[in-house]
Amino acid sequence: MSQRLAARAEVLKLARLLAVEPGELEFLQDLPPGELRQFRELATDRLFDAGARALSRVGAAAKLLPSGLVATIAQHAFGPLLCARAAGAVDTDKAIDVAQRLPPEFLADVTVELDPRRVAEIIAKVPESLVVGVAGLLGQRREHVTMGRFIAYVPDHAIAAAIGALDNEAVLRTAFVLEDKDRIDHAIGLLPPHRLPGILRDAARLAIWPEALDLLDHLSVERRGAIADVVAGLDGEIVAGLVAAVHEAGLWDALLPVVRVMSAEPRRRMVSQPAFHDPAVLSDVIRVSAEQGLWRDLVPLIDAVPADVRVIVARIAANLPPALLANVVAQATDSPHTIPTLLGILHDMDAESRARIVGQIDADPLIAQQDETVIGQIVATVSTQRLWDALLPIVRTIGPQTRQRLAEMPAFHDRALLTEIVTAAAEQGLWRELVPLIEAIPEAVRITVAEVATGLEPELLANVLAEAAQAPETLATLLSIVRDMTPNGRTAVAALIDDADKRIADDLVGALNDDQRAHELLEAMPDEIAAAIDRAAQRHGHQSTLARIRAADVDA
Amino acid sequence: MMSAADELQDELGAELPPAIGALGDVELAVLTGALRRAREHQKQALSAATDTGLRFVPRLLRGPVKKVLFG
Repeated sequence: MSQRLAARAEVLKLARLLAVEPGELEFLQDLPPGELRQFRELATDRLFDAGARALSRVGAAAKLLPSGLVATIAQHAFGPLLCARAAGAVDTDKAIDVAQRLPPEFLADVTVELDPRRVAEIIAKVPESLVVGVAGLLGQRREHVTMGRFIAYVPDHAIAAAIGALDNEAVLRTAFVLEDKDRIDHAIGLLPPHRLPGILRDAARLAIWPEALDLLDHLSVERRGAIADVVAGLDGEIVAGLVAAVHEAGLWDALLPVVRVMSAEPRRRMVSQPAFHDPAVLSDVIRVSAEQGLWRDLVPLIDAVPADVRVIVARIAANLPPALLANVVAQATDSPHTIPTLLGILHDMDAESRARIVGQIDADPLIAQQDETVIGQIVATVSTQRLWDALLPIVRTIGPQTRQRLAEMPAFHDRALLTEIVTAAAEQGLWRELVPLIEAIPEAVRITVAEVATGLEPELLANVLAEAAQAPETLATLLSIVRDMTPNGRTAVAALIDDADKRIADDLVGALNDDQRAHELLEAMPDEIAAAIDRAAQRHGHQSTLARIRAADVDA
Repeated sequence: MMSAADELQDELGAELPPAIGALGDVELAVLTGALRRAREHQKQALSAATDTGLRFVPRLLRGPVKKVLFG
């Protein structure tokens, strides 16, 4: 349960015990609910123990009198509060005999004041007809706190009968203040299934979503899933009310787990409602999820929103403070099935934000802590969703050992996958991001990379050449791939160099000029490539630079 | 002089949960007052009810009941 909701329920109960308005105790609202409950129980004990001796004498005296007379005295002299205090001192059978002679209205008054812990034995034996009568009256009087305190002590058959006497609002409000929250799932199981949609609709009508979410929060996964689908099936206006209530009261920790257990299609339908697309709402839910460890619960929602909304999600994520980003990465590390969603968000960012974010996060554990099967699954999703622009920059930033381990996994040795990666890199300007992975790939597989490169369309190969010319640190890798290409492939590269415009030629020669290993690189070049570089240099006036490089006369 | 937390602890007859003990004096006094009023109200009501209740008891039984109630 949300701490905030639990605290609110506790304040209501304490106010009832002390006979004050809940508003007078508002200052307790932010305290830990466990401590509030402890305080309430201590105060209850204090009040019950205060007159313990006198009360036990009253109980002993009751034994001497016929039940009918005790009932008369109880009603006309003692009144509800004192009867409640004295009940625990009266013999169980006597108490039930007396109770059956009292009008339900009076019993309801007594019930309000009882401490169920002290009369558990009596409650367990009260006939069902009395429970139903009293529950109906308590429901009418909106005594939800009272009913919430009792459920743990009432036998199942009586609960089932009592729920029948309560309307939807009373069920929700009672569940909210239930003393023993673990009983909610059980109690809801006693409810006829056809009542659930009505209860949720009434939550919307009466604007008591916190109570409804709290109820859902306490259900078992099986029951919650079915009910979550009922929530998902509510119409747009009701969903808007729900989102507004959650946004306003900061209850994402209650709603997101419900969204998570919805079936895929109802979830998609629900989050397609505009209420979920408001940037302020998205910003709130993302921030809260990052802060409160709810990333795993948030992921199904992100996965289900339409593509244009995912762009808004990415923009919000790009502006998260680094500490919160680190939280998300840590949570994704622990829940690897969410890693593709994280990559999807990176994919949806503009290139500049993506580069900045990848630079900010420590992605090494994200990859390092996953086993081969998990990596295989992530790679398969990245492949299906074409998320290479998100994964490759991460592979570039992780530590060399992790990258090495990754590159040694068979997933990265598959020709079809390598073709996809190299093609994506060539199409999307990711050559620079791809190089560290290629460098880590085992020697034997690099031949496959060269073969894949040979098969690239000329314009894609030209893209790679242009990008490599601007990234001198990648030139050696490119030239080593070219060296491993088939003669046909090399001829194609030579033709590209021949067709290269002045800008590319300038970049290429400039890059060589900056590289201390350029001399060896050129030496190792197949003849047709070396000749093409010569021709490009000549065409664009770089002969002297090239000659100097060839003579290994490079400025340090 | 007793602190506001001591007064509440005294009224409660038990150690305060830490978060309650850390409340401000004004808030502690609100709790102390409410608890004290509830206890006093109960005491007075019990005494009055016992007296009234006895009037319903038949004269014949009143003696033994009084003995049980007041020793």
